[in-house]
Amino acid sequence: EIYISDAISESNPRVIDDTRARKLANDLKRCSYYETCATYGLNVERVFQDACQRIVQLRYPSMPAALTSVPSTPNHSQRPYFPHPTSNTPYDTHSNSSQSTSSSGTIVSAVTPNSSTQSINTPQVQPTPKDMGKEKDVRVEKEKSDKKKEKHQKQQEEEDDKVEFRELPVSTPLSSRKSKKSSIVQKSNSFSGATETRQFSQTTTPILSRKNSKFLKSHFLSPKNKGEEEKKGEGEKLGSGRVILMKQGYLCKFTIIFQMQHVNCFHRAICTRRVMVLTRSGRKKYVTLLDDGRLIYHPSLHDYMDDVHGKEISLVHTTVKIPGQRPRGSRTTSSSQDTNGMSAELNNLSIGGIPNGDFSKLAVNNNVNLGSKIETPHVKKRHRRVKSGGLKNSDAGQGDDPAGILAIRNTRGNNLCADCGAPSPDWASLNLGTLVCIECSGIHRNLGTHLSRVRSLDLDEWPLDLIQVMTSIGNNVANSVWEANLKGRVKPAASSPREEKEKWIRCKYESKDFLPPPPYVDIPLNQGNVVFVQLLLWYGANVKVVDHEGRNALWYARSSSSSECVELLVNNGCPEHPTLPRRRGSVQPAKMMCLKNFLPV
Amino acid sequence: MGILWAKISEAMDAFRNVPARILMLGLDAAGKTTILYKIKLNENVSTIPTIGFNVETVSPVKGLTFTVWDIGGQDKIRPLWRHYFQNVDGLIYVVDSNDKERITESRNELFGICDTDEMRGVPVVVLANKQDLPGAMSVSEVIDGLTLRKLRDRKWNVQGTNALTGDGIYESMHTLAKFVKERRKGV
Repeated sequence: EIYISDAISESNPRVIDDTRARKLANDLKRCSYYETCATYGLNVERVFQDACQRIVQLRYPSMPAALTSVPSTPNHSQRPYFPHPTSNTPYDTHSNSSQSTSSSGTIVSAVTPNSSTQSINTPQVQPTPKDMGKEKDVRVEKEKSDKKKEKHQKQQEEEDDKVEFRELPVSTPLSSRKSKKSSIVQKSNSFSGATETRQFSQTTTPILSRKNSKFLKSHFLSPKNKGEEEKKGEGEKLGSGRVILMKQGYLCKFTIIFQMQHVNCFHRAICTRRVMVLTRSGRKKYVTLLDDGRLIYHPSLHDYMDDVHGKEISLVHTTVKIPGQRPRGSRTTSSSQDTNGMSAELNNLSIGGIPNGDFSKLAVNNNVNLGSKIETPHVKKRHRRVKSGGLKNSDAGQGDDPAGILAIRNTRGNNLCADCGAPSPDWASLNLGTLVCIECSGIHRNLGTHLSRVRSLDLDEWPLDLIQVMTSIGNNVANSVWEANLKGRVKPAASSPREEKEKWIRCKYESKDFLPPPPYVDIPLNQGNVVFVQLLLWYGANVKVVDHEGRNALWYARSSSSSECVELLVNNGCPEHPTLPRRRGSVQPAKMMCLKNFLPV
Repeated sequence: MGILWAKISEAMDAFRNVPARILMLGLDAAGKTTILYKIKLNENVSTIPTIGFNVETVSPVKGLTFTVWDIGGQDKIRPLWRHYFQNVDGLIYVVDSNDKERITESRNELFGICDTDEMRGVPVVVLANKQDLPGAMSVSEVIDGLTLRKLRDRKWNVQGTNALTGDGIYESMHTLAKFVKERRKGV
């Protein structure tokens, strides 16, 4: 069973604390905890697969447990932030669908304690101790650890639970049926998910009385179902009669389903067993999901019991539209994954993003460096065009959006100005990959764009590639290079006079006084160590040196098959074909270029 | 009679001496604010990025006063430029000669400005600033980069400048003053 607690909205960034949800999951024994975001389809598929696997395991214990369960959502310390969706869709009423965070979903159960959000509570879910004992424990290991850390919250949880019980729709006749491992359900945020479940249901659930259409008139158990229930030691009677019924509950946003093309967020209803959600207009719909893929809703529970006024939708013919994604999107990347990806690129980019060779010393064309490639105007233009084309924010976490800016701000060390330590810097140096305060940014602008390219986090456009550069470096990484060797100098503070800051910044970036000592020179090219090569270039190594066999640094870089080194050298003006007029007497191995041609300024 | 004529002429000059409204635009970090205060104070001020605008009344040329509006050039505030376009007598367009990568972007912004109705026929003085930096584009490179030769419906001029030393700035102001006077006479 999948229960969803969703209650995330702009004003309630995260209604249910994840520790609470985890504890609930834990209390319910055999459950895993997932965090999902319906809006963006995060994790939904995984939840689904896991749920199906478990059911299969439960129903067919003999089946090899080859299907290893999917790991559940780890605790993220960093909350993904999603951009404002186009939230004025008619179905997006009060809750979650959108904004700032993923909703937290739990398998088996998650209770929403906060009724003010009108998200639904699923109180009946609370299993009795008896139930728990009988249920197979299929918890994932992870829950054990969660349990420990959540113990201290237990007291509070219990209080919450009481509150929830009060909110129970006690009149629901089906309430007792729930904690059974019923057939499953569907949390579908994606078309594929829905289909999958459906297939599964058909193969595992005996289909009774299809002709009876959607509901059995009686609330009694069908023989088959009854047997099944009894087998589990639960003599439930009430409300369990609808054999093929998979899920029922109140649904908000039914309008979406009604339109059939936009089953936005309909998982919310389906996944909760009995969910009472106010629709936007304040009316509730009682929604039932059948295992043949039909979704039926009634204006009220009473109508449902009488089986009147039901409206039916075949989910099989329904596609799910997720705001911010293309309808068919099976994208599962989350912004946290993006972040991971960015950090994974750190090694690649950390150098590429600090391409501030002192080209004047090198007498090299200073316009071709890695940093410049990253942010050519062309890229920028293309990005703008995309935006104006109405595709803005079509991908979560991409492009010029708050998530990217936030990611930059959250990059290590970026809470303080890289040069004076002032808090909350708003200005970025694109090629240094740092954030600085506005005063230091003014000084950076005086350096010239060959040393620092200043942009505003707030007032400039931030295409994705620039965001990636910025998140890949950050103040800590950058200063580990630019301030590696302070030589006893004292870094200015935020309150220092501007002159002092300017002096410091010029020493730091213009004369490069604080760079780490030059690396041992033999290493870089032979090992393809692009970091050292860059460092040597900063130190003024001569890229045009040729060894006695007429090979230059580029040749050595190629032989070490380091495309990064090759690129770096080419961008720094290393000639493809070494110039021949070499003096016999002073030939030097090119691989020593960085070393021997160290030119103290 | 001669005295009378002199008085009339004086009155005409006074009429003409209504401060000319001058816009100073350009990409961020081009040096607009530094130039403005170099003209105004003949000092090198320590600037920070302009959020919003600076406005100063300067008289770089005898007999003509400029009200110079220096407006911030970050991406997202460039759309605000157009709110300053009305009744402009001249445009000072500042380019960072050291920033070759953005010369195309700068060109697009310039033509965006010139294509508006309010700015039709307004003379342009382009300052190829930061000539002191290594690798700075020359005046002719800036002309090519900005495709200025396509700008046919108005007078334009490009002047290499160094806002720190003041090189080129007064020349450009003279040029602009000349353009403004010519345009006023023409009108």
